[in-house]
Amino acid sequence: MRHSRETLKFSSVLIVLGFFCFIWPLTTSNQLFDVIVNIRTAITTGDGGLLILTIISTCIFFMLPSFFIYICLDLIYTQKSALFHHFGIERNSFIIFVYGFLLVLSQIYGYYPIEPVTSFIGLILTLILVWFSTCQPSSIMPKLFIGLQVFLVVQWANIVPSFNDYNLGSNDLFISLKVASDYLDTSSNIKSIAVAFVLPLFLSSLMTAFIVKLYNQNLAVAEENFQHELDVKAMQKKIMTNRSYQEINALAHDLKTPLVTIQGLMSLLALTKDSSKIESYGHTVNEAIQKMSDMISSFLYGNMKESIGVLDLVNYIRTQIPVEDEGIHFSVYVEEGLPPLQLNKIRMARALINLVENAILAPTKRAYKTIVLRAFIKEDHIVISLTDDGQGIKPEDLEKIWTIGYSTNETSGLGLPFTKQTVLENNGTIELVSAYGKGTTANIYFPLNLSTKRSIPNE
Amino acid sequence: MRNTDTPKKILLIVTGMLIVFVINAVINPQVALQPIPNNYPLRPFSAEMILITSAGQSTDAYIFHDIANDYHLNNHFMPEVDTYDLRAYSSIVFVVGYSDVGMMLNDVTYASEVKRIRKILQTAEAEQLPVVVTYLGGDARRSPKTDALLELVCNAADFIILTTDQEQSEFTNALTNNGSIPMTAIQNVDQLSIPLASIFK
Repeated sequence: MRHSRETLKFSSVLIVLGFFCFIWPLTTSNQLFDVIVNIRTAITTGDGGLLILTIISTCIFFMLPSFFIYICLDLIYTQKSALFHHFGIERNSFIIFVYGFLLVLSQIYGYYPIEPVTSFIGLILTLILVWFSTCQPSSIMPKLFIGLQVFLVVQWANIVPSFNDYNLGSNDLFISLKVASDYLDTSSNIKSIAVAFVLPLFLSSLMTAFIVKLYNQNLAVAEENFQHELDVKAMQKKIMTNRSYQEINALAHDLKTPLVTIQGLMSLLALTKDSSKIESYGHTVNEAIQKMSDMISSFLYGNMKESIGVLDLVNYIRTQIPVEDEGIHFSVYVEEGLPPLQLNKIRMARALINLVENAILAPTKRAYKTIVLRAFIKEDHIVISLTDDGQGIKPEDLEKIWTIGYSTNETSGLGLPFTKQTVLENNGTIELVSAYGKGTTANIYFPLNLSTKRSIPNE
Repeated sequence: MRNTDTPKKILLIVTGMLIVFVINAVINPQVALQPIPNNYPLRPFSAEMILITSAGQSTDAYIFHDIANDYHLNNHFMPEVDTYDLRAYSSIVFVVGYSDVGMMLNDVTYASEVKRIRKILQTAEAEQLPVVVTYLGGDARRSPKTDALLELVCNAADFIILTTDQEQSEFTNALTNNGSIPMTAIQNVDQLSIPLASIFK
């Protein structure tokens, strides 16, 4: 299907090229006669305006084959570029050679409405401007715009008598137009038109090439940025995968505690003969198994929520925070009478632990660091607030800290994005307030109405 | 790695050359040469009835015809005249200039045009009619066919008016048979009226 479409396109280009090479002079003789008739009329009536209009139409008429032959040759090269590359033929070399050959052929052919010198100059100028514009070799639109302007501009040189010495405008029609123009004294008008329209048109072709060049440069930068963005996303995906592995590792680590409990109790069960202790051990083993089950469920079903008191959550976190360092003063204040929260306990605990770990790692110039975890009601929210008196975060870094992989203290840059995601999954919001040099406060807000709802496991 | 300076330099050079070329062509006025009043005929030709015809079917003949009308010279303008009864005319003017499109428009071949001109010249010679050759195309219209037509009609000419962008050349000498045929060279068409007023009475 695609092959047949390519063949059709190639055939169309060949037909257009063949038309302008061989059929054009045969089908356009009436237009040529009109030029002669208009010149005669202008001479007889002294109508300089008619002569100028005839000059303009003649320039356009002579421009068409020059322009379309160039475009056709370019399209032919584009469509058969693999073949040309195989033989080591460059695009411009091919176009210049075939174009020159066709111009020579047109002079041998008999009468062909084309000006060889100006057409060739137009071709070279167009190729230079296209080269300057650095447009894609297969992109035809810039070539159309640049070529159309340049080929029209150079045709005007055919009519300026001063260019006779350069063998421009040696065609029968252009000579007749020049002699008639001389007689009707319209030469100054022609020069004025050249300055007023043709020179700006040439500058316009330069501008077009320049704009195309800028556009291509911007496009290249945009493509580079897009590729960079793709790379960043791929890296973030990789980081998230690593994070999942880390979570699995953490889960496996956490599961060891109840397993050790079970293992110890099972050893005791084997030794004891006291039936009351057996019952107590069995009960404890059952609790440990339940705890393991909860952990696995929380991991598997991220949006499974349960009702948990704020104090219970804080205590759960405290047992897992490594705050044995004497340089850290860690304190907790929980307001009494807080309603329970609807949360995925394991994931939320891990999110809060991330915040505490960040607070511990935050650099400080003091001898010791104070970290305070508070839980209280503020307006319609339960607020869990963690404050440290570390170095704080610079204002310019504050917006970036939620980005995956971004870190100010040479960590993985995964903790805060995970914390934010977990808070959002649990219907909360999080904000980070920091004063550089004084410390940082992370506030997590849970709406009161949500916190009082019943737990509905969502498997 | 592509050298990005090369196309810029080429573009700047080409643009600079083009601008200088255009400015030179637009603002540099051509030196207005006066017609060379050399070798006017001893006696002016009769302007009782002039036959104006073309040799090569260029539009230049229409210019001559327009100027002749402006100077109220009695004339018949027949670019393709093929009648060889010239008894009604007092002189003949050939306006030379080969035009491919003009020939196609009038459905005339180069051979038939040459044949027509030869017969008119023969008749004019038989009738002893003065023949004036005018060439307005300048150096730009020079081509093998135009040159051949010029040589053809100038051989029988009594007076030649040429527009030429240069001084006397071998070609103009050949046309005037080394100066034996009176000739006036003019710089452009505007100056045609001066010799025209001088040679017709």
